[in-house]
Amino acid sequence: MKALTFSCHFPLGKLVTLFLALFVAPPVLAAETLRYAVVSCDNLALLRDDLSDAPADFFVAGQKPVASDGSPRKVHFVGTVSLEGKPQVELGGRLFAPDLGVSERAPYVHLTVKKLTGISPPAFTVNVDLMLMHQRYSSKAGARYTGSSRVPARANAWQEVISWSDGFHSIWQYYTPAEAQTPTEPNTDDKMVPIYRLDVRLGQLSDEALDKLPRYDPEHRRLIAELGRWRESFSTHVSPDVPFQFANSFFDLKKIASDEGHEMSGLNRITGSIEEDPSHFILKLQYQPPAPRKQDLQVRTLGIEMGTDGWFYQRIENPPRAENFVEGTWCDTTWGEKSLGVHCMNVAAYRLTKVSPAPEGNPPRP
Amino acid sequence: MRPTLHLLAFALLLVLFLVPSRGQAQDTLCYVLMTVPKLEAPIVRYEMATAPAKYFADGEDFFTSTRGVRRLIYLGKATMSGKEQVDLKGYLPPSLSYRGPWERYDTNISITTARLGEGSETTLSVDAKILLQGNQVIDPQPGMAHFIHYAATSQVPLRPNAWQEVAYWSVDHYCQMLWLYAFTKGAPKAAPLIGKAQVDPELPPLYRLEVIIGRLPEDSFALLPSADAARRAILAESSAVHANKWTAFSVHCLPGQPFASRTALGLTTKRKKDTDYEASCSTTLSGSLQSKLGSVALQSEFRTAAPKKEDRITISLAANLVPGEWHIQQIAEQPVIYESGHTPRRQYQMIDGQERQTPVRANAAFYRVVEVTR
Repeated sequence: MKALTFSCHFPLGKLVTLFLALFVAPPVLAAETLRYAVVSCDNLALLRDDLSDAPADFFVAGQKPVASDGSPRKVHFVGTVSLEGKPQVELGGRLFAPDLGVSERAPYVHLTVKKLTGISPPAFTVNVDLMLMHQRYSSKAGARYTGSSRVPARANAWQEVISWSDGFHSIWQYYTPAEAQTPTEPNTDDKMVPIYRLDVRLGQLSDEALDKLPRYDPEHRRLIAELGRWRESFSTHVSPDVPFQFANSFFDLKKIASDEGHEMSGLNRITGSIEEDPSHFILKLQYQPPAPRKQDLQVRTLGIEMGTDGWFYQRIENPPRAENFVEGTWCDTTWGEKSLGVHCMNVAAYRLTKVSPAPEGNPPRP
Repeated sequence: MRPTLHLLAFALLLVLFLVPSRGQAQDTLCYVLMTVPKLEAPIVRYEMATAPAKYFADGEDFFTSTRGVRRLIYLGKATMSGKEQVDLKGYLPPSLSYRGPWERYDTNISITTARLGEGSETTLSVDAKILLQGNQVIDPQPGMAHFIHYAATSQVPLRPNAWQEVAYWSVDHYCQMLWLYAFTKGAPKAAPLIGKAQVDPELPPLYRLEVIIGRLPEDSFALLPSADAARRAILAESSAVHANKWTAFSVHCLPGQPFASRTALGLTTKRKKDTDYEASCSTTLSGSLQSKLGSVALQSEFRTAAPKKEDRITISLAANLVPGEWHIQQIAEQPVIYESGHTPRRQYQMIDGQERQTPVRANAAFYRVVEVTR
C-alpha cells in the first residue's frame, strides 16, 4: 500500500526520463584491459594458490600485506592499461622507494605488451624491465631483472608472467576482454601454439651428487630441484621456436653512475629457445655468467633434450665461479658448501610444464 | 677325486652355510643419529630408503646430494637375538658430535629397544633419550653451557637389512634424526622403498606422525575451513611457518601403542641446581593413534614449557586424520614460546604508539600421519 502511494506521488516526467536513460542511452561497455602486478613474496606456491581464484583488485600498490602463512609480501606496482585495438601497449613507472639521492636510478618497472594474432589459444608477449633495491642493502645496491614471456590470454584470471630468485620477485597479469566481445569460436586457420612454463635453476652440487644424478628417479630429482638452495632461479613462459631471454644483475648504485661496465659485471643472462620434436624437446641456451672484468665475459652454450615430466639436470663443464662483484653483498653459502671448496655454478636444472592449452583432465593449479 | 666327492663337499658347505640362519635370527640393531638441515629431511628420508648398511663413515659429513651438510653420529650396536629387550648406553665426546663449528656438545645416549609381536608383524618399541651438553656460541646466551635433551617413544617395524627412521626433532634450522638398521643374518634384504610406502594389506598399518607447533597470522584461521588439502600442505610446509616454529618432531606409531616425544633446552648450571628446571623447559607430546575406517584418530596431549608451574598447560591435539593430509588446529591458549630455558622468544610490536618487546605466542599446531612401509 505504501509503495503504491509512493509511486503515485512520483512525477510522471521523471519516470519517463529514467525509462529513457535506462533503455535508450547506449550502455557504457568495459574496454579490453590488461592489469599487471609486480610482487615480492617468500612463498610463491602460496601466492599461486591465492591467485588461482583472486579478483582483479587483489593487489594494491605499495601495500605490504602479510601472506596467510605469516611471510611478508610486498606489492611494488599495480597498473592497468587499455588495449583499445592497439597491437602494442606499454606501462610502468617508478616504484615506491625511500629517497636515495640517486634519482636517475630509482626503482622502476617497464612492461611492453604485444597482442599476438593468428595463433590459438590467444596470447600476449610481455617484455619486462624491473629494477628494485637489493633487499639487504636498500640504500647501496640495486638489482635489475629483465625477461620476456608469453602469457596466455586467459580471461578474468591472474596469470603468472615471469619470476626470478625462486619466486621472490614475480609479475602477474589479469586480462579482461572487452564486454562487447562475443566469445567467438576458435578460428580454425589459427596456428596452434602451445605455451610451456620453463624453470631454470643454476647452482652447485657436489661432484659425487653430479655423478649420481642421472640415475636418480624423477621424485628424487624433484626433491633436490625444489630444495631452494639455488644461486639463480628463473621461471618464464615459452613457446617452441620463439626465442626467449631472462636476466638479473646486481650493482652498486654509486658505482653505476661512473662506471658503464659495472652493471655488466654482475649480470646473469640466459637467452635461448626450445624446439619441439614428436617425442621430446630440445632446449638450447646461451648462458652469460657474471664476470668481474670485461675480458672475462664469456657466453656458454648449454642445452639438453628433455621432456615435460619433471626436472632435468645438466652439468656445467668448466663451471663459472660464483662470486659477488658488488661490495656489501655476499653469496649465501652454507657451512656444508665450504667443504665443497670453490664456489661455482656447476649444475643447471630445467623443467617444462604445459600451461596452454590447459592439459586435459588436469586443470592447472596455479 | 671323483665327482661324487666334489658334490658331497659342496653339499656339506651348503648345509654349514644355511644352518645358523635357520635358527634364531641374529638381529643386531645399529643406531645412528644425524644432524641435517631440516629442509633436507625429505631428501634424507628418500635416500636412506635405498641406502646400504655401510652408507656412512662415523663422525664425517656423509654423502651430500645437495649443498647442505649432513653430519652423522654413530651411536652403537645392540644384539637383539633371542632377547625381548635390549639397552644401549653410550657417551660421545664433543669432537664426534658437533652440530656445526659453532656448537660442541658432549652426547649421552640411552636407547631401550623392546620387541612387540611375532613373525612378520614384529615391531620394535624404541625409547630413546639423547642429552647434548656443551657450549653454544650463538644467541640467546652466548658462551653459557647449554643442554638439549631429546626423548622419544616410537614404534618401528623390524625390516631386515634396511634403514628405518625412529624419531625426528627440530628446534632450530637443523634437525636430529635417529635411524636404525636391523642386521638380520640369512634374511633377504628388505625391498628398497622408492617413493610411496609399499603397504602390505595383511599387516596392521604403521604411521609416521609429524607435528609442528608454531604460529599463523590470526586472520588465517578464518580461511582454514575452506582450505583444501593442497593449500593446508602449502601452509604447513611453508618456510615462514618453519622459521617461526617453536618445535617440530616426528615419531612412528603403531595404532593402539603409546608414543611420546620430548624436547628440553636450557642452561646446564640451572639444571644441576634445580630438579624442576628441566621440567620447566620441556615441551612434550604423548598420546596414541587408533585406526578407523578410512582415517586415523589421533588422541594426544601437548604439554608446554613455562618457568612457573601454573603456566605449564596441557593442550589436547585430537583429530581424525586422513593419511598424508595435514591438519591445522588453532591453539586458543596461546602459550608463550620459550627459545631456550626461561627466555621467551620476543618480537617488536607497536603498542599505544610505542615500540615494545612482546613475547611470541604459539597459536597453531600442524600435524599429519604418513603411512610407512613395514
